[in-house]
Amino acid sequence: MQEKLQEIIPRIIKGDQTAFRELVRFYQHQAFTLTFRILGDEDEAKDAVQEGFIKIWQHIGTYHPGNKFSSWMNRIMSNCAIDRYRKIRQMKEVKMENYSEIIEKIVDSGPDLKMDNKEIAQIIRLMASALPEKQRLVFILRDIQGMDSSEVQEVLGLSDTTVKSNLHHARRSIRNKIDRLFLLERRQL
Amino acid sequence: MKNDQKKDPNGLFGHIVDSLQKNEPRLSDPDEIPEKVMNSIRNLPLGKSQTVFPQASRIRYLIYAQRLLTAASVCLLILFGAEEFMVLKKMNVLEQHTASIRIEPVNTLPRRMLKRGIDVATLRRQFPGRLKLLEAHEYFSQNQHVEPLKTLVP
Repeated sequence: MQEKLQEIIPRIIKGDQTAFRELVRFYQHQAFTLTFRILGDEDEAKDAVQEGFIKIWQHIGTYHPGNKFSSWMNRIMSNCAIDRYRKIRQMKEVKMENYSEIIEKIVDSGPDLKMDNKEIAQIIRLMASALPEKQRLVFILRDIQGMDSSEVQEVLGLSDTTVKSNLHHARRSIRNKIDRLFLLERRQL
Repeated sequence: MKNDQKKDPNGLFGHIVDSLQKNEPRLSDPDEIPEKVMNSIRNLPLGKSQTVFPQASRIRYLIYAQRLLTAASVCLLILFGAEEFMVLKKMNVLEQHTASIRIEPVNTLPRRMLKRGIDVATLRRQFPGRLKLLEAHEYFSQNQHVEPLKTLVP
């Protein structure tokens, strides 16, 4: 696709909407995965992707062909998702029994566990809903999305130390929370 | 992350994170987003402006500058505060020291010595030790008209 991009981008800059549709079709899954993980909600994630692609269309002139397109796109998509997250803020509450079911499923299943979007969203909310915004974003981008530390710094505009410390606190909080829930589950059994 | 998972390979946390990494959310309809995007941009002009990102970076620089200035002012406040505290402390010590000097007749002894032409060496021989100075003072007080050199020097 990178080679094809070199051909597509100049066409998009000239206003070719067919080329842009091709670009959207190719990158929509990557963009959706990122926004879904940040927002933990399918509909909101789709809206964020749509908003992100509109921004890309509007600012395609600022893209430098020397840079990696996916990184540039990720930055725009992350910012859209973060803005949306700030607006919605209060994530949908998930009941305790739902957590228990998911945890049980994860514990019982092997490494090849298949989850649908709803379950993924529930787990993301379970892990990150109580975290402060910075910790939540750093954890999702670094640990779940698998971004480099430098990419996370660029997207969130944070220093290396801040990213590291937020990640540390987020992991500790999530680990404690999961352990507590797991113990609770065991006691109930 | 990898390090943490290595530390806790069988932990529930690592297991959940692994599951989330492996399970990517799926789009039920791959044509939905492209359609919506195309409908939205149909009437939008193709922007070539460079307004959004430079503005964002300018704001970021402003925020950095603001933070830097705040940090600098806090440092200056601490510096001035500490300095003032130290100077005041020194002044207090000096004042206490000055106040502690008793206005006693003993302290007027050197002036009397000068008046009467007694040198310190003579006095030290006659009155060794500080307590003896009191005796010297009493001596001078009682013998106002006595020639000191004649009486003191053996």
